[in-house]
Amino acid sequence: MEANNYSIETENLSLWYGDFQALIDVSVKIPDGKITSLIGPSGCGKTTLLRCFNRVNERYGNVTTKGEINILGKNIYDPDVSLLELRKTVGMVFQRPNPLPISVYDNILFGLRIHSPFRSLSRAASDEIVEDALTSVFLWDDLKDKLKTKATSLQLEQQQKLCIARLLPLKPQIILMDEPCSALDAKGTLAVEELMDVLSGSYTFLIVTHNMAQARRVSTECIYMFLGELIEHRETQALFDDPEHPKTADYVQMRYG
Amino acid sequence: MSSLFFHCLTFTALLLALFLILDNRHDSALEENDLTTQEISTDSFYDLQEKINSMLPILIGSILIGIVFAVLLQEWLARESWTYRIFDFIMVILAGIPSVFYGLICIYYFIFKSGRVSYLTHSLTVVLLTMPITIQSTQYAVKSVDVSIREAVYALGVKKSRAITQHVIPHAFSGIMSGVYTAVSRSFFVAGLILVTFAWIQTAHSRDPFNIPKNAYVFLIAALLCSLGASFLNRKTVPNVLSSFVL
Repeated sequence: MEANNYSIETENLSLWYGDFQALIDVSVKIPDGKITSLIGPSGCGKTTLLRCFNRVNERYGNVTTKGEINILGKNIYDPDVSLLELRKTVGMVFQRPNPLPISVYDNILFGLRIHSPFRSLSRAASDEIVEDALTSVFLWDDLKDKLKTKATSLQLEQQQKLCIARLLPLKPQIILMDEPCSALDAKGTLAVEELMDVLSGSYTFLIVTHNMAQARRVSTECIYMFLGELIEHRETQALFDDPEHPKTADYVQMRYG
Repeated sequence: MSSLFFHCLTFTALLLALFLILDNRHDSALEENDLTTQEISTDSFYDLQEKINSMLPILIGSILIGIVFAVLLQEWLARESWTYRIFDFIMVILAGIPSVFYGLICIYYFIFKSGRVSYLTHSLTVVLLTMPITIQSTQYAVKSVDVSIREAVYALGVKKSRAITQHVIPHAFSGIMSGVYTAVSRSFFVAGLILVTFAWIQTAHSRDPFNIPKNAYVFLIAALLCSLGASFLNRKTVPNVLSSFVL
């Protein structure tokens, strides 16, 4: 997969859950190496759109998709695209921290072990990968003595950072985040936002958030969605200060939602 | 609306089938003459015990097949498909029928009709006794695995088969085992019941209700232990388990 100026491009993307159309002709371009936020009222299709990008939606049997999604210049619905490779390239962080009920150490190596040949990782290489990943998310100092601790026993903020750290050994180019701070307190939210800021040069972030203040703080570009349609996509500052579409203005000025 | 029609049709068909069986039993098994010892069975107690023992592989097989079938049904068959709905509906009906009903069927085929029906008929009664409850409890156990675990492993690129065998099933294991214990408990209880009934019929002239073979006690105690095991796996507390048992 080759990179261009846009990590993700969609063309007339429509999606149905059974008879219900959740996305209507969405055409969007997500810039490379920046943080883009998806905002809009509940049920407007933000999470659905996000889940299209690593085809996680497909595990629900009744999903029909039309249109084109290009990730790093490659249509992800092409028959030669490997779903496993796609999910390696496009990592995802969920609303609720979801570390696996295994140790911190094994959580970090989980994805890598799946994508590597059996027993190809030496102990020393594994230790180094774990240290690098935890250092990148500022957890090494806190967890270096707790690597064998069960990950589900950590604080929520640490669990969410661990979920981000778990993606890093796979060297993803895009990280999708579905309301990553909704289960965290103010301190945890700040910590995750700082982490995204630090990592944003190296990874493309697409974040779904209900928190408009957060979208304003963290993202370079912002997309407003309403009832399955993409209403407006501009630079964050411009979208909040001078929205072009009346529906966007109603939402960002809190007259709706 | 079509779904409601389908449910009504299936339920009517099941009721009709049930009435046919009942009618059949009335004609032959429950005739007064059938209750005489020479008509009930020519088997000795040893023969009956052999027949019950020969059902052990069928019991294990039906439980294993039930688990595999339930996982396939739950994870690979689209929930909106008619096939899923039909299987699910049949399993709900079969698992919901009280075990005493299956017990009566077993007594009928193992004692009253013994020697006149094949090994296959005996096996089918055991399958009917154990498989629906195993399938249903496995379905519930697999369904109850936290969605966040599935999402985490799928998003990291784990294949569906690996996600299910290495993550979903281990997390659903206590629920699956609870169903297995219930199924085994049901079959042991019925085995005990068959032995007790046989002993009572054979010794009807002695009028001694406590003349019960030792093996029957073994089966009944094993059924009780399995039932307690199922309760513990359902995460009930010790007082809850004991009180539910006493009640």
